[in-house]
Amino acid sequence: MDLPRYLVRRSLAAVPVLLGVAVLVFALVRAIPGDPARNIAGERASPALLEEIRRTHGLDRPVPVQFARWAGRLAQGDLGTSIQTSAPVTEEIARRFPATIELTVAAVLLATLLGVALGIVASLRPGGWLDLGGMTVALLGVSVPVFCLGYLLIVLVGDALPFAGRLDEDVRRAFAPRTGFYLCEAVLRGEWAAARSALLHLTLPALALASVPMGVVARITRAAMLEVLGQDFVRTARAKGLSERAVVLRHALRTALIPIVTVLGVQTGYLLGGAVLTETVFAWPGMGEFVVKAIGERDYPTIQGGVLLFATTFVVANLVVDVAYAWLDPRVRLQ
Amino acid sequence: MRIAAPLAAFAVALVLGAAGCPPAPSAPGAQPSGGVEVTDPGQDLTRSLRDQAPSDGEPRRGGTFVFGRGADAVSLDPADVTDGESVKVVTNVFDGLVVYKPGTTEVEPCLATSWTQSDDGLTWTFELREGVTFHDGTPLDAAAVAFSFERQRDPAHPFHQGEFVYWHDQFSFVTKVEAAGPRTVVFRLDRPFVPFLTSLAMFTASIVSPAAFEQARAAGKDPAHHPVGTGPFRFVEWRRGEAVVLEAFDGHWAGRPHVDRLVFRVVPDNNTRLALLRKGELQAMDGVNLADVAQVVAEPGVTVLGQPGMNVAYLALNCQKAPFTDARVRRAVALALDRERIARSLYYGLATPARNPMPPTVWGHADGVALPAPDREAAKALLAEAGFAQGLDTELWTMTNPRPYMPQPDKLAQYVKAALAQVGVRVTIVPKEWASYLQEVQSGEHPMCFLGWTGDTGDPDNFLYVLLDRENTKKGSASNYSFYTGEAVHEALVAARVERDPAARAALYAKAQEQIAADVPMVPLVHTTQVALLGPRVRGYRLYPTGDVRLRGTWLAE
Repeated sequence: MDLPRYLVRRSLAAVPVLLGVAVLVFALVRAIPGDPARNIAGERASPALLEEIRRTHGLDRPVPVQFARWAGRLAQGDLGTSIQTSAPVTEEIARRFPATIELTVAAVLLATLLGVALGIVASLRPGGWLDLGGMTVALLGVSVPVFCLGYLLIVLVGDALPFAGRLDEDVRRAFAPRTGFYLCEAVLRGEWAAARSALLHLTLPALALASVPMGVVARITRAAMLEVLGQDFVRTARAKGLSERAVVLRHALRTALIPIVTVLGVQTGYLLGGAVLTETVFAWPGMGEFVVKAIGERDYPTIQGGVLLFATTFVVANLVVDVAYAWLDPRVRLQ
Repeated sequence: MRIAAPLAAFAVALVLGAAGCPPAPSAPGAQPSGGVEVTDPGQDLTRSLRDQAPSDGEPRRGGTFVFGRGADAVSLDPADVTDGESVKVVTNVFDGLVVYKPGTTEVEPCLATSWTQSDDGLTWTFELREGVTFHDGTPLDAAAVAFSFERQRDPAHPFHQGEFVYWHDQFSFVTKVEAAGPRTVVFRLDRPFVPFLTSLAMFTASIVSPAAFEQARAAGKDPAHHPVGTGPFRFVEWRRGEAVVLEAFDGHWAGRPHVDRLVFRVVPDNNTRLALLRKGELQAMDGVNLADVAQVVAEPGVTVLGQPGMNVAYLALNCQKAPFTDARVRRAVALALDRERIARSLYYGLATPARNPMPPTVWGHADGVALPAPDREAAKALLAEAGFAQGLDTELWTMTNPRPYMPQPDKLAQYVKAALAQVGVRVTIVPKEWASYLQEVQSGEHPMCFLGWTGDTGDPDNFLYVLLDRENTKKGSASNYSFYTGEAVHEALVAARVERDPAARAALYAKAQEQIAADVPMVPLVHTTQVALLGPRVRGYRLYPTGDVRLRGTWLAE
């Protein structure tokens, strides 16, 4: 089957999944105790005012009617209006999601580079001290809570590197970004001062966020490499006189990449929605912190829009993984 | 499809997980958990803190002042905000007709230079200051003042967009605001109400530029995101979730502020915010973890300011429910509790033991009302006299979520239970989710409950009438959770609402506070301390009892 047809089919198949998520989230947010109107109006609001607020936001309608109206607007690309900020949810997402994407991509790149390197090094001499050291680092990466690592980074290198926000205030004023992708935009526009500032601001949060996927990738890489290195084709490659470097990096690694890509796909999905703690600790104005705050404030449209976005990124990440399989392993057919 | 299950589980976990627990790792006021430490009183930090930064030397012009806080503003329409973070911004962009005298809740002239009341108290006339302009260049006139209030009052007004919660709460007795001349504004009231003047100093009574509203509408923009006032700082930019940027307004009627730019920056995490202050990226911040203050006080580069906040945490004793119908039982409860100890242990020394339902920073606070020292024997004797020599069983209702005035309600409940057990009152703690807590205590079924109040206007009426007048005991919408109906207090509070002489009003409030202390409808526990941290260069910064952050007089030393 060719790629475009495959993509269309998979996208269609994703629709029921997303619809299910939408229904579930819609019902769940309304099941949590608490009242968005009370959150807007405060403790001293009169019952009449609360009623009026519920009416303005359509919260006085039966839940199925609310859902139908929301789904109808959703079909037109409208996620509704944030109860808390009165701004369209799509606008809020457009402002924040780029920040989360830049952070996630940086973290995944870091995690892949470090994790694969650690895994390969560890797999070459199983049981050796490099293996032991590498796997200890991987274990720490997986188990140290992100905010602990975040605080540690701030205390240790916070004097040398920025640890809050995305750009220095004066750099930002001169740069005046037009999109939310500060680093990409700065590089494309050739604004090197802004690019430098954006990169420096990205470093610590990306490091903190990379720790868990780095650990996971390192362990998977090690296991996959150990398995592959013991196979016949590797012995053949060695036998025909290839350098160890070529054997490991060109032949063995490519085969071992399949489980690594699987893990990366899932981790990317988690990071896009789960960077909450990192975003909070490093004052990174992304999606995670925003949606969690919305939950605390019972801002239904924002929660619904945010979770739907996370679900979509999850689906897309998995799709990318599946396509990558076919590219990595010619035996895999897209169907 | 194989991703469906983990995806759904993830969605469920996200929604339920975040709903069930406070945001990790450190929401403002969040504290590490542990046992109830009521045996080891800490130090009294509040008394050792100053309420203003040094203001020595000649004010220096220039520089950017960055204030770090935990959350962003919600809206910048001064009439339509209720959260503290929005208020911090709008009080620097807008002026009102009157303003609080620094350090007090008394008012003094601002955009209005003088005012008079008609004999029946139903008409108030304000004369406006000459030569005041808005940031957009339009002049301040009576029409602009009328616009600022009429758009809140009149549902048919073309700019009546918003909930205007505080209008309903504080100005519902205003029937019309109109211009009676180019610089004369008349307010018509449906009943005489003297605290009205204090309410006019609130952020919600800010004067906005009508031209700016018209322009925003013509341009299809939301005026709440482009505020234009006459205040010392001009709005520049609002990057949602990140920062609000203001700059000095050269044309301010009282003179340009000292700093060039003022940035309110969002840093959600308390520890990160403190690290930024230490690094010099912030000049001031609030929302420090209470447990960290004692350590920060000792740091050379950081100045810690503190002042009793305009709030009270209290234990309401339901005067309409046995056994608290008997004043002797209520007094016994008050005698069993050690408020000093509560302030030091459960608030890390960052609270002032309360003597009255309102804090000492509110004018009219009766300093003479004595704080009865804890006395177990006296409490037992009173209980025996009331027929409870063998003790009694009762319930304490408490919210489970931290509140600004009560960061650890669960621990406080355990302390109260332990302290009352020592005089023979056996307490069952009834914890309830905050989301529904208010409704439940409004029904008046609780024997005792925890609650608190954060003042709005700084007028005694806003504490005493709200919390203890019998007109607020209607079940289902009560704000007097003690369901106290004392006649003498009611008479004093109602008389104070129409008494024009400030000294006579203060006397009425003093009388009410004495009677409240005698009747003990509630045990006021503490006033939590408002804390601000400043960097080493900050001069001329002070705390306001209302919690306002006003930076016109602040400058940065070399």
